Amino acid sequence: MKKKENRAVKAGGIWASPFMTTFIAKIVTIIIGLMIGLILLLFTSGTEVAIPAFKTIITGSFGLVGFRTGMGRMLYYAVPILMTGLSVGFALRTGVFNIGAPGQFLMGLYAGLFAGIHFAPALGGATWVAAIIAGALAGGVWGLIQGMLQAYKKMNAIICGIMMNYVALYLVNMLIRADRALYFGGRSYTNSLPGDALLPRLGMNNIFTGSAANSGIIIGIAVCVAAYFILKKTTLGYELKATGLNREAARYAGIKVERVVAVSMMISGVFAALGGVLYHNGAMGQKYTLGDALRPEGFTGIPVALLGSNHPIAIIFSALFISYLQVGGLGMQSFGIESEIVTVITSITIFFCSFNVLFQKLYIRLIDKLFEGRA
Amino acid sequence: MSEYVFEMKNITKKFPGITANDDITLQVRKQDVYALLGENGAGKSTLMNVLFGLYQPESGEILINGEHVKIRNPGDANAYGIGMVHQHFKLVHNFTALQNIVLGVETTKRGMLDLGKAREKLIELTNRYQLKVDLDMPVEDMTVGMQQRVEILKMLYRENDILIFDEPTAVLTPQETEELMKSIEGLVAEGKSIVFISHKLNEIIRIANRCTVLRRGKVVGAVDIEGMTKEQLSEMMVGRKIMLKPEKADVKRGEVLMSVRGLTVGGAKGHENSVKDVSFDLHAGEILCVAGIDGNGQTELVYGLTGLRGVGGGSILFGNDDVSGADIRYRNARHISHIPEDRHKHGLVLDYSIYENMILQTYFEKTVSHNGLIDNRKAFKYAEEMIERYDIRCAQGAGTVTRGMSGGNQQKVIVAREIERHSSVLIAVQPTRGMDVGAIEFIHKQLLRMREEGRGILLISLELEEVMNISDRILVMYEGEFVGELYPDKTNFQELGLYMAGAKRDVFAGGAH
Amino acid sequence: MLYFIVQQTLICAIPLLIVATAGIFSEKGGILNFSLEGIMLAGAFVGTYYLHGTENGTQGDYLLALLLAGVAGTVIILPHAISSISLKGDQIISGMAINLLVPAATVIIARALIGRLQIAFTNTYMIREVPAFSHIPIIGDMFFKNTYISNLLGPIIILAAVFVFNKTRFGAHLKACGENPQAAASTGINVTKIRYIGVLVSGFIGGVGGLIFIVPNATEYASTVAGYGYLAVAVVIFGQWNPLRILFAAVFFGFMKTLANIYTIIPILVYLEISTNLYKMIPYLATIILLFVITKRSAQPRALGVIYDAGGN
Repeated sequence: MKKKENRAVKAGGIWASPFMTTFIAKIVTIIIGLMIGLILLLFTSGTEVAIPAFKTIITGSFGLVGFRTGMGRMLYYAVPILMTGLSVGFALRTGVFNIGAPGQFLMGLYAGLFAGIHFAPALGGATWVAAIIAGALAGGVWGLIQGMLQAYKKMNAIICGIMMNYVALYLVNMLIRADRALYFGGRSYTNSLPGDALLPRLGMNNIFTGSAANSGIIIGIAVCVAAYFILKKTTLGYELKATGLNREAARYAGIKVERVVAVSMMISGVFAALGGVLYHNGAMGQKYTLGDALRPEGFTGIPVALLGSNHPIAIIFSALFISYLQVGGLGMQSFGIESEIVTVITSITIFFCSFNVLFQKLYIRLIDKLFEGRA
Repeated sequence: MSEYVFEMKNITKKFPGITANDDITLQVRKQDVYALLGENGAGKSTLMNVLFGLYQPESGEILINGEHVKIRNPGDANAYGIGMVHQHFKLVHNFTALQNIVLGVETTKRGMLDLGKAREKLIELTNRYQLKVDLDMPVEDMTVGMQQRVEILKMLYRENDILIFDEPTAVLTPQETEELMKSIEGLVAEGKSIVFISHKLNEIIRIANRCTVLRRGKVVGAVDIEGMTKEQLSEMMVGRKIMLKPEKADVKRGEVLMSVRGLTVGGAKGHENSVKDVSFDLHAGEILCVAGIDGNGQTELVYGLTGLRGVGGGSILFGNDDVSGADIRYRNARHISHIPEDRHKHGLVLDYSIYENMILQTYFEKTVSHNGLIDNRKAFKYAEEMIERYDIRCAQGAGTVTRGMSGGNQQKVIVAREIERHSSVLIAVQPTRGMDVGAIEFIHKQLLRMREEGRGILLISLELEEVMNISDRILVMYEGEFVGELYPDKTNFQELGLYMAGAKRDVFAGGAH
Repeated sequence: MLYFIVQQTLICAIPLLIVATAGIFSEKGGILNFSLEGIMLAGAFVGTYYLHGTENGTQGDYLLALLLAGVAGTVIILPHAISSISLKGDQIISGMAINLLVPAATVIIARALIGRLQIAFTNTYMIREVPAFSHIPIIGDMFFKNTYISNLLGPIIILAAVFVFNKTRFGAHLKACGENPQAAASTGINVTKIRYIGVLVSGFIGGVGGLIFIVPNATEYASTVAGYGYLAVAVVIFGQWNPLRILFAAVFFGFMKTLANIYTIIPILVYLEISTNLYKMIPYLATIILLFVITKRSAQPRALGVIYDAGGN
């Protein structure tokens, strides 16, 4: 086995590196996703509509709204899924499937809203910082509860996550309805945040005119880099990865794996919750609509994480990519096509991610063939 | 009619990076007990899995009663009357014996399972062959011996004529082994033909009439057992005199390093205690061996000592420090090194590189980290040193991911890590299992070196040869208790065997003196 | 009053237990089925599209729609089966992909088919009274008035599942594949084939369950089954892969949900003046608490979600 790999490394050079292998395999899955999306469009809308609509998607509708606006929108919509993607990916590195990201996202959103409205009179221009901290705390606590149930009570991660999501949904509804500052009776949505509670725009509104781009994306990327650092350099990261790769060996090494799982879920909860705050406190006039449905950003985190191979830095790119498609999807109305076409494309991409290893094997075989005799 | 019930001709089977079977020919006559002898990894199981249809060979042919056949899957094998008792039993744990036996050949009545006839037939079979099995007991509640009888009944129920046994005695007590031998004789008398895979020479001489010896995937020779001695067979098996008794320096037994008193460790969920009130002392400069048949509480003893499982009672003393309630890390960091039984489950994070695995218990210590940050460069350098010192073969130095390495080199990584942590006590569980002779010698040398340095080694081994060769003192474990304390120069295999079988036991006050 | 609660509970519990039963057909064979939400949606979509086209639909139409829903579920689970069984892919990911795909795809297809995003239908399928049975005291009022033919399907499917798992060859083989595929293969059982059948049956029943969820609860298909597919996944685990326990788990959950919906007509609960949202939260919270209290040995099939390699290496 090893021998074969070595030969490939020598022969294929950079092309046979693990990074390239994964990267190419993902690109192939994305292309397949796009192609099947196109086929669906062709079947449902006919050639005249489908082709230009598809063009709009793959150009991120930049052609329609202009480069600056398109770019800005992409950055804006990338923030929540970047954070939930990081949340899911980070937990997976510890071997835990965090299906509870939607609930943690909501808890963060609520805490950000609460702090934004209640603390603004006292804190003024620093309110947004408080909102972020409040959101992180709320998500951390929510994630920790879930993590402890999973780690110490051995509760099934899926069942636990699903239940915690709905509990969070109704809890947030309840808390908002009980709070006159956040909500006027009779409406189905919350009051909007004061200006002090919003993230700084840092002049991004001038660069990316016509979009809500703001510093959220910068904070988000910084958090990803921090996550990368934790995993790569710290003893905590060593414990997290060891637990994820081989829980029994981690135990043998004296790592308290239950605690590690709980901590990992806590951090994961913080990330998802930051998605809620950074999104909701990101733009003017945002209102949270009360309802019985979970918000989709939490679930979109799963494809983002998978496409990014659970790697904090790669997740930045996969979030930007999916956001790019989503922005493209926004332009679909003008063709009389639903923006859901983007979800179709991403879900098919995700489907092909499930057996990505197969693509990687095929690719390695191809590289082997191409470079045969050259080494 | 052909002279042979089956023949395998020029079988070659390759796996990535290794040729498991290289041009192997095997011819078995009716009512043979045909032994397939070879070391671990010699290709015995692979060859039989080819016959059983689990593997497809790259080349070669199979003849049953002189006719060419193609065996694509176990279903085909069954149809040709071939049955196999695998080394790891192929039983569904929560099915009863009856359900397991009829699996795949169930009889139905109007679409519904109807096992009445099957039961009758099985009762007849159990009587005829003296195979005691409770047909309605779930497999998970059975002893290993009974599970094996279920496997045998599975073949008999299917009226198989060619019965393959893959290392059937590895998990049996000597008594159970003897029973199995009798069963096999009974089967042969009824006209069955047997293939018996083993690396235990005594058994082969006892039961087989013919033998093919494999070494590294190739046939060394096929011989009649009659007239062969153990020594001749073993030389064929390994190619040279095996296991030269390692040179043991005279080391004076020092002070007590670890003192265990009244240790009790629970079994798997719901089962009774696996280790019952065990006491012993481990001295400096001593290799103390716990011998016994697999499954008599050795694993649990180690779990209890290292902290992988909580203890039910008793104390584990290092001087005045009783660690019986301490967590794994405490024991790791202060007293115990541990070469685990299962290197893939416990010993390594396979997707970590060598240098990451080298710091598995020490990643947080000052030597490789500061303020919660790991100094990867230091860890890397340390690992490079170990690679050099322990002759670990790897493709990309300390950065090599351990998953891609050979079993022997993976084990060397663990051995290096555990020995170089300089704990006073090393617990080594079957440290040489599955290794080739060279690696075994290397590991034994390391253990003896530790002994000379005045450290204490608790060796858990299933290999009697190893037990006799390198230990200073032997404690025999049987059903969770120590039943005998022996010294290798004052005992022999026979006596050791009697203790291991529970046929002989000494009453000694908890084993400690 | 009591009758009303029972009927409401059934409306919630029946689809849940059917879909959870669908789940075990796949999972008993060792293949995780996380895609139940998507399967339900596919069944609901195709079923309602058929009902959309019928006027004054009869029970026969409803049955036909259920059949079509099952077929839709079977078709849509096929990729999951291929990925999980033949391509040895990650079983959660392919299931998740189906959950994401179906609601999005049905929106687009609905638009293309009828120019609208929702597919409406006229509900003419309620049975006011089942002749004879409705006169049985108590039970008659509870189960045989204002009911749906599909309510009968719930118990039938559960019983069928119990029968299949315990009394048939296929059931024995499926369970063996889920517990120890190597052992199954060594007796000549074709693990791949058995698992495919299990997963496809799972898709069929799940699709049927999707339509059974829609018909009593809604007047149109709007690309949602209210997360019931995810709940069914939870019910499978809660019910420990055992049809009868699943029945209990589904009824428990249905009852809790019913309480959350109808507390306004129970005087004492109204008197307490507790927020609606708290009642809505109760089923989920209760499940967590119940699991917290009863930590039992898991009866999960041993090979569930484990990639099975038939041999070779």
